[in-house]
Amino acid sequence: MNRNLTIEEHGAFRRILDAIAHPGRIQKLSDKISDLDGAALLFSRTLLDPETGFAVASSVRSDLASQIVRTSGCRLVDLEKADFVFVAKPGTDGALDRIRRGTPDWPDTSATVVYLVEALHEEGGDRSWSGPGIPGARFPKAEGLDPREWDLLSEANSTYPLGVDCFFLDEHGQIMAMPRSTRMDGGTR
Amino acid sequence: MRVREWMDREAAPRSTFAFLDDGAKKDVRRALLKAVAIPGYQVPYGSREMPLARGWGTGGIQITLSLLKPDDIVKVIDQGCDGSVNAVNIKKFYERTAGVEITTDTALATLVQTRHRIPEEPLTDRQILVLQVPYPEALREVEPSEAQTRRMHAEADYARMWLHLYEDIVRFGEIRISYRYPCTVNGRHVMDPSPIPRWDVPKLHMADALFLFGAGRERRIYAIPPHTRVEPLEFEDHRFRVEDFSGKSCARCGATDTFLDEILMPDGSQTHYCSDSGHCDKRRAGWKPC
Amino acid sequence: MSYVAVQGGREAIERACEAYEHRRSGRTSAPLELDQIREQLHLAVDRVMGEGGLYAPEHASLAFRQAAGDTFEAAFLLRAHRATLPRIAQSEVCSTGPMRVIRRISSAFKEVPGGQILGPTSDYTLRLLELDPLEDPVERRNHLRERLFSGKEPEGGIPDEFPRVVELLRREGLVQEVTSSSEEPFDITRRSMLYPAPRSARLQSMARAETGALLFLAYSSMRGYGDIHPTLAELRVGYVPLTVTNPVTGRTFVAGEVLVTEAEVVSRFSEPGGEPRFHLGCGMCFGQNELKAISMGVLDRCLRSPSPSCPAEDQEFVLYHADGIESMGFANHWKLPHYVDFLSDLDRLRKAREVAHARA
Repeated sequence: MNRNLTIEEHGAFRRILDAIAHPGRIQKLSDKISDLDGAALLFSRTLLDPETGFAVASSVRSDLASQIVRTSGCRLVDLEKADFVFVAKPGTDGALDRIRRGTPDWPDTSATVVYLVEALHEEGGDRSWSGPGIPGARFPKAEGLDPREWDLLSEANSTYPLGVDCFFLDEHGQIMAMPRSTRMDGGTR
Repeated sequence: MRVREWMDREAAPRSTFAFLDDGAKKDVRRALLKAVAIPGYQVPYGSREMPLARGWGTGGIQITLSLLKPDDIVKVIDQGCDGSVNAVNIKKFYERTAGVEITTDTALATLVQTRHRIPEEPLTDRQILVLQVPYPEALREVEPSEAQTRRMHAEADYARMWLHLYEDIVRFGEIRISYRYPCTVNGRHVMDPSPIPRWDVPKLHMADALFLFGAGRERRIYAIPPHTRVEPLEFEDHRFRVEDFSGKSCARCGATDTFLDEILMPDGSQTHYCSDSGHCDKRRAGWKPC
Repeated sequence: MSYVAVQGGREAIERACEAYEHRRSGRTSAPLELDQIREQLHLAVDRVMGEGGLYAPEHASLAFRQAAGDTFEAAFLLRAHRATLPRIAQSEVCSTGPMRVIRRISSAFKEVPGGQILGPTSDYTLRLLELDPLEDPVERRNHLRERLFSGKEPEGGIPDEFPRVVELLRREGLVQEVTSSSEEPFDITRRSMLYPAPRSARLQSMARAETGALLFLAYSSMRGYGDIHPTLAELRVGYVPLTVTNPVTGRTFVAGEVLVTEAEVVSRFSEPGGEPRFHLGCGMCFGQNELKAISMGVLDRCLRSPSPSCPAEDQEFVLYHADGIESMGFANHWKLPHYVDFLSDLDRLRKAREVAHARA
């Protein structure tokens, strides 16, 4: 086991944890990575292993998907059974319904959705985010994501504590998160 | 290879950073993310055996080990004290397996692991507090079965817990729960804040720092993100109250605004010292809380 | 104050560790060798392997010595070591059919096909302390070896495979079959137990449980708190070969043998309605540990009770409390300082007394 890789994963996990503890806060996943593929691979290496089921929704490049499987050792499974679902822009196109949202006794048996988008911004979004981890409200923006995806996410997370938790990775190697506990208000609907 | 040789090789110092194997770390990490996403909900995880006994902080240790970075500055306390047996043991383990720096100064620490106290000095939004948990289930007091308590959480049915508090008031005029005071987190899940005194419970509410709870023996992880509502269970006409230290002060630093340990003197009298030893030392050295 | 002193705590702890090691190393006696422990205290070694969940006689002997003979502590050392080992492969499902039997008895029948093989056991000894050994121990050993191994093989030799006693009952349709799912077994070392627990999880959990804890629970059921009246259909002790498939070549090979004890317990039928049948309980553990295997067999049957009516039939009660490493750790943790919690307790008590006095 390569010690440097291990240490890199420890650093990445701290950023991932910080992201989900502060929904809408944006930071680099690693100081050394400035691209989407690199970020997606480091993210997978930090969290996925043979115990985890992985699936892709929409048009995630197949070479990236197979690289994720190879570097993390995770199992490729059907969307309905996945623990981690990677989604390329512009979004799931409705496939979000099929993703696991947990059960009342075990809401943690839900999937985590990872959106691969163009660019993330802490300001400029048209929905207000509030809830745990957010002092007041935040208005983050994810360029490259179909605005309708937010409505689907709102719907998927409408029966808390059931729901899905989301991470967003962008082409600059940045990360942002939206756990199911985040409330979204406003928007184009 | 002979068995003896093999055993000699096995006994060689481990080179894995932060002791745990990759699989164990990832299991803990995935559980931590779910825990933060559902504040106060107990996420099950595999929980490996540690070289410290079950009940001696193995849950907190597994969380810290999956988080540590070589540039972390770590503070470990037990009962508020940096020099207590459990804290000393755990620090030795982190130094040996991750080579991190150890501090007693809360403000300098990037990561604080604790048993039974939250430091007096407020934590910032760049700090993480890891709490060691013996009983993750706040409802265990009223229901021994895990299958039942899980159902109660699923249905947000906390009637028996409320009844328990009410009966205490009727019989004793007081809620008898001293530490491990049950709290509602994010308006949804009733949570055991670990055996911290009531004094520390308000520190969890709308805090800047992230709180992570690890129960190794019971195989559960839960969390309170920053800026999250944490409300102790209370009645409108019977409010939650912290321990009463009125008229007492620390005999070392003079503090009147900290949790005080009661020390029995050889002549039978009592004196008081700050339970947070690092904070007390800092005050004695002339530092003033802002 | 040294227990919690801000200064000097580390020093005191180091000395305590050294004092423990010093006391264990004896005064004038010869240091214990691992092969002495492995060969002469083999039942302790077996117990440690079972509870530690790792089949490694050398390591278990080391743990037993390091723990100064405390089986809880030794099993803990072994299990903590186990947690650091990579999982290289998973064995194929093995049958105990080809077991190289060293002991095999059935108390359900006077004679069984394959015969009753008494083997090494203390069951039939007179429990008299050997205060005055008749012979020098080494001479005695040679003498025993001569007597046990120079005689003729039994007529017809020892069979390679012993027919299973339960099979005979099964053929008559007298045994209620346990529906075993073909799903991947639940891995208790990787996942937190869920209730109701699948049988694979229950059996794994009991195989690692503390011997005394299983005995206590099983005894409560057989004595009266429960209605399991077991008959020992078969008890076997022997070596079972473990087969592993090479992930690259796909070829299977025997990786080695493990010594196990297996107990099959049948109990009276109690099903209301339906055809009356015996219910089967299975117990198995590493090494020779007959008490544990029998207790586990009884509890396996208890835990399948459709409506639990006593502690031994309650899955959570049995499985949450039978693990020695967990119960030992938690019971020992009360030795850690708890003065903050206690002060909080005092605060509540004083307040409650104030209220009580005011009311009076």
